[in-house]
Amino acid sequence: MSAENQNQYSSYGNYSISGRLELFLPKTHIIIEKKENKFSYYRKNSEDQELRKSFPVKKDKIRIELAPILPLNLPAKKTNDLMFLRLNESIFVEKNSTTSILVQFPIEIGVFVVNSDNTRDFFDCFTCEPMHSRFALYGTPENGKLCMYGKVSLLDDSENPESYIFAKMRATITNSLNKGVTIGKLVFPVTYHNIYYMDNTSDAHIDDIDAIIRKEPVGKIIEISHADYSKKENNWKLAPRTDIKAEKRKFTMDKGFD
Amino acid sequence: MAFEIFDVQIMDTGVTVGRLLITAIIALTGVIIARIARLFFKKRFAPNMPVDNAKSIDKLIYYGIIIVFLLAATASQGIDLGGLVVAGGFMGIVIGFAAQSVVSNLISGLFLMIEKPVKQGNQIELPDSNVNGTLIDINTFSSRIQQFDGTVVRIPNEKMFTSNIRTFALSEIRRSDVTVGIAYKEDIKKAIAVMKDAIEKNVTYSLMEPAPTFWVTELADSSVNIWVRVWHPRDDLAEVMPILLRVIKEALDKEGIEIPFPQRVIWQGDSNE
Repeated sequence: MSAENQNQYSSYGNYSISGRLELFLPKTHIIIEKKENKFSYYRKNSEDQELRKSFPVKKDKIRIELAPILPLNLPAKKTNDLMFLRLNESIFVEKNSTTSILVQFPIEIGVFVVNSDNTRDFFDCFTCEPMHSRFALYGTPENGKLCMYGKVSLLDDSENPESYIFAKMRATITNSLNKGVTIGKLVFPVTYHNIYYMDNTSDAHIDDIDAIIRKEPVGKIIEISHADYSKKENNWKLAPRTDIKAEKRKFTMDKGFD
Repeated sequence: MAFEIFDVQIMDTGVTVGRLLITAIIALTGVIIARIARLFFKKRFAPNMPVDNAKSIDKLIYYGIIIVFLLAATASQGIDLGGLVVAGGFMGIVIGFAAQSVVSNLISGLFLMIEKPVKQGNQIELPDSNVNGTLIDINTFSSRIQQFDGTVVRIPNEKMFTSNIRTFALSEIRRSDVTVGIAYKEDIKKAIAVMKDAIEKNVTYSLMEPAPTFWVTELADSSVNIWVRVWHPRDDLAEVMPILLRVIKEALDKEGIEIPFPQRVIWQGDSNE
């Protein structure tokens, strides 16, 4: 019986490999094995797509880290940094009020090689839900911005998102207008966001966002900025970053948000 | 004795061999400095600039330094270019007629670099010339376009400047269209739903928003034709078009939706009549 059937997936965290390691994740199976002077890496997904890599090493043991990463790599690095979250159900924000929501945030999984000086080298990445590796355009075809796309649901505070597919993200939305507003999508840059995970579990949380709805000459806009994940506890671990450059900037949704 | 040759005048113009030599040395120094400046620019600044801007500035630096040194060399040695200009005026007319297309290409190249209707790396199409590919660069006299089959086409700048240029450079996405015919007996709504679902699941580069659209465009002789329009990232035509029709056909086949082929029923006259 496979681990998938038992619904027992491998956890995020560090793994030390001296012989053979099998990792089971939703729709994904990874085998890392020592063979004479090299370690071979094999990954297969639910669509029977296979990937093989090897790294020749003289060491008897290697360490890897399995961690959630930003969803900017698959199917290809095309967008600069924008994430387009389409909410399965729109939210209504009352006039002159602030609301805080918890939403799913799509993630990819990264495999990092842990060096002897404890630095991490990005080795491989994959998604446990290929349908999430998609693109969308924010704006019109003439002047829109290409974004990575995720269709997400709101979460209750105690609710956990689907493991290995989503992390949690909190969005604090302030409506400074004198009438209520309906929001159906959130678009914002993500390269500055850190992802945190809990060792030996599948829990992941990404930095939050602050959104302010206000009136500008062009119409109603939402200004979105990064906010640190403030409620992280000591046992949350910062996931390593890939080679995507972190850039902190605000983004203004001025092309609609319904 | 040996240095007397430097005082020899050339054709009684007042210009000595020595002056000419010094002029040549200064000009050569200019070329060397221009090359060093170009190298420095390429290593230090060019990597952080857009490729097309970097190329233009690179040329400006190189030729600018050479021209400055050339002028400085002639002026410092008292070589009067005025006579050359007068003599060159007449020769210029003669050469101008002979080299009309060369000058035209040069000027067009300058205007292309200033106006920048397209940039290096853009996918462009020149419908008049039937050229379709990626713009490699715009040089002094010609531009080079690498077509999708790998061949490189050299287009004279004049032609490039006066041609209609079709490009997707201003938008981050583009649209690809295919037409699919389904049988008259089939449920159009169901067929569209099947195609939409198949595209979303299997054509990875198809945008989720704007989503694919489906227009019933024709009640044709043998089929109801549906125009399928799929948006995708600008440079990923090759990731979409080769699989789009296959994905649609497989999905329709799986659902038992018929894609008809043209049929004609021929009635033979009754021989008893």
